[in-house]
Amino acid sequence: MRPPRLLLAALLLALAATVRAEERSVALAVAEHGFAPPEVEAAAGERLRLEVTNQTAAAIEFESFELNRERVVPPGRTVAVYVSGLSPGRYEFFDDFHQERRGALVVK
Amino acid sequence: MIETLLIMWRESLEAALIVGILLTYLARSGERAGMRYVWAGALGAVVAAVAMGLASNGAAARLGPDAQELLQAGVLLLAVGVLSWMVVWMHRNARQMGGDLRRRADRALATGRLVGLAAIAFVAVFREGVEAVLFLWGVVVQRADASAPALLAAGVAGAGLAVATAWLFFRGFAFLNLQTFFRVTGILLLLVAAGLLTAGVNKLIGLGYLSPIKPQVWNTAWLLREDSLLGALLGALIGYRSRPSLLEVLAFLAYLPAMGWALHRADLAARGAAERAPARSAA
Repeated sequence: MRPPRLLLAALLLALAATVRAEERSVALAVAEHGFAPPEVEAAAGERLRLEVTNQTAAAIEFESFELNRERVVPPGRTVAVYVSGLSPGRYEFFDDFHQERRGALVVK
Repeated sequence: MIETLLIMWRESLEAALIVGILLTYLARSGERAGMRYVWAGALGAVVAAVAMGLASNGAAARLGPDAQELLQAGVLLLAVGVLSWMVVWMHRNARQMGGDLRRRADRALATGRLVGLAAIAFVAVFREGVEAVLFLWGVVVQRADASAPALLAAGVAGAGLAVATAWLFFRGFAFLNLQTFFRVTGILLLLVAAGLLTAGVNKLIGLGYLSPIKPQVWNTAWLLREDSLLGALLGALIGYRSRPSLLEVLAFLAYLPAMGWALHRADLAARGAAERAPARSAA
């Protein structure tokens, strides 16, 4: 398959995979002292919608190398960060703007 | 203080590197006039980023943060389209590069090309600019005492350091001969475009519109961490990530040969046109 068609097929597959997918929402707050809860649990392979709320007075950046996500959240706002299909393990995340705030997603 | 400087350095690095490639390319092509367009795009982006950053802080922000992220993804993908068209255009007209563009009948096309470069500079700066503004605003808000101006200064110094890093990076290119230089920067621009495409796809995955297919195809963190200097440079320039998803890898890998094919066709077209037209002396 030529590269443009390969990409198109992959994109359609990726799009279709989300349409019927069941998702579970988990609330994750960022407070002055850190993440609340500091650990989030999930089942292997499930589609998770992390609702990250910034409860501090300054912008935060939800970031994770393991999850390959980064998102800036203005103070007082909530964003939705999706992760799916994860294998069992511990995936750390942190606030890139205040790196003492750390947490983890534990997938069983 | 140091943290603020380092964070701003990282946030500004990608923009500085991409703008640096464009400026270096134009300078060496003898198109100094075109550099004004790139500067205009970059400065316009700083203004727009400040405006958007401050606006999104308020509760009355028109677009929610998720909608803004979707907009950023769209802007990234549009930038890839524009940049791809740029590279093909430059290839097709390699013989006229540095020559007298005023003699070309389609001057509008030439101006359009420079506007396209300004658009790339705009996107590169705007994207990280909004994050940088939000970050600095937070720094100011958190320290209502007298240390705020000092922290702001540290932030600006971080951005300045990114510009210096980019300048140093591209000084190394000055030692290349012209042909090698264009080949290297051409490849770099393609990798940058592939990186922007991958970043756009990553944002759409994070927003839930696309499935990663498989979230971690490999893990190269043992080889190169994203928070190392080289990792940060590569991450900023070509979108290097240690744990990419399958969809992102496919996007990156599909883009390169697709562009290679387009450039090959452009080269053939350029060669055909050169054979039909009388030879022009090089600039």
